[in-house]
Amino acid sequence: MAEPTLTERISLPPRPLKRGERVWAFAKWLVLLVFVAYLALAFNKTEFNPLMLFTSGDNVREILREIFHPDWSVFSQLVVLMNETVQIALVGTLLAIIISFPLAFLAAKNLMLGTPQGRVVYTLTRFIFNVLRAFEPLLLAVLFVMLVGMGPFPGVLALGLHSVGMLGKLFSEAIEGIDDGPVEAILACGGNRFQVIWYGILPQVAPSFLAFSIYRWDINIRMSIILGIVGAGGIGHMLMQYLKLLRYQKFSTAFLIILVVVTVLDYASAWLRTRLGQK
Amino acid sequence: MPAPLLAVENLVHTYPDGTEAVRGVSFDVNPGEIVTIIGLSGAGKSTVLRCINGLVRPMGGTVHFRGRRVKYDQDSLRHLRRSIGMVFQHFNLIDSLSVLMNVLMGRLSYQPGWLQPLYRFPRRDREMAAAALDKVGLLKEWHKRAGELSGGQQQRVGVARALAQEPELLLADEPVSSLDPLTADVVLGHFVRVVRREKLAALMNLHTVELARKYSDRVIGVRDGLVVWEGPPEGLSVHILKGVYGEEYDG
Repeated sequence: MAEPTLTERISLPPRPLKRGERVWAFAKWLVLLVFVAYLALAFNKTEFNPLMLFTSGDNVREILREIFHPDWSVFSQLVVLMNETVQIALVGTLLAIIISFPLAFLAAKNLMLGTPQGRVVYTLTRFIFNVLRAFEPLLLAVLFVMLVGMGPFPGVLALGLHSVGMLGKLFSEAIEGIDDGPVEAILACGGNRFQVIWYGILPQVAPSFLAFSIYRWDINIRMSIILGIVGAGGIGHMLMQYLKLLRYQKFSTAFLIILVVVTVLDYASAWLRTRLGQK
Repeated sequence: MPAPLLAVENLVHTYPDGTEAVRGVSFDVNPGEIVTIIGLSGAGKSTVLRCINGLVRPMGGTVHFRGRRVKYDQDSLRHLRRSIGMVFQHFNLIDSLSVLMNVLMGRLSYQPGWLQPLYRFPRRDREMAAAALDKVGLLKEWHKRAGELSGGQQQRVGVARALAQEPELLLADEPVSSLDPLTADVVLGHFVRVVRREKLAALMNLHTVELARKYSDRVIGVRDGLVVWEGPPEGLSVHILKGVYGEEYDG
């Protein structure tokens, strides 16, 4: 059998060096070195020591023993509170959807940058979204608990406001990503501005709007547990109380309920979103 | 000579980036006539079409439709666009909506305000949309999602949407360029037959000379934003086509 003929081999010509390439290569190593040094200091500063988990042995063993024996006497009371947590997230998210839906159109580049007035509205709406996103729900919750007192309502307000910033940004980016073709077609049919948005844009963005909303609800359920710690309703408050009063068995019950509910809703949300994605 | 349905005079448009797309184009379209504009990509064919229904606002020249000068304020344009249907290269359907709903888009300018948020149309409009679908032979597919149809079928939905407007003039911007050659011929043949049967006028941009020859009453050759030739399709000699497409044109 004849040897297969090899294709001709040549070595690559030298790659021309870009301007300042050597300096950059050096700078990159320098930055990496500084970062690694900073990281080493960080471990030191945070007293990173996994052994601590084992050296304080008696304490850990006691807590673990109690945690593995949940106290079911508080079960029904906690389920009611968990339900409240889920509802806080639901109402907060819905509030955010209702507010951010119209605002998102005002924050979409492709719709607003045509006129000077539009530019002003666009910049302003974007700014509002950025500010709302910058406030962590936990901080907002502390603020609203001070304003309207303890209970689920400050939780709703905190989640709602923060989510307006998040959803507004996501919604407006979805609008910016649409295909202009259908919009052009609706204009050519003599459609008015409302019809352009309602028939040309909305059908294109509806699946992602829904997916973002479900995802936000999912995040807000977890967030709303934390908000309970500062007195904004739901199961979080009891969770913190049990921990403070060293009631580890009751804490364990609350923890299990949260684990189950969050996991189930997480799967449900993921399933729903894939269904939307397939359509 | 009857008055022309559409009279374009000395049309000029320059894009913000400085591209002089149209540099003084004039022509007429008569009632019931099918006119085709040919020319290279970037010669300004699309811009001319879009200036007629105001999707692009011309910077100079005039357009007269039914003897009336076209005004480019929002209200006048919406009124004008009722009578001018448009068919697009990429169909511009809303894929997630039904075929029927896409055709009903042609009735948007007649939709009562209170029905607008509801995705509902009066019975009369639904029947007109159904009639338009029947004309393109897709009545049976009315409930399917537009995105499920083949390319050729999608463009027929695009044609039905334009017909549902009950227009007097149809603009078709490269209506079959995104279809394979065989489907292109079938769809364009179908389009032209409907236009003839309904006694409409049509102004098309086509990118193949062969289709322009086969389906038009009159051909306008555009090069670098200017009309370089106008005449019956039989007049398209190699010499003329070299004038339109450049010396590289080889039939």
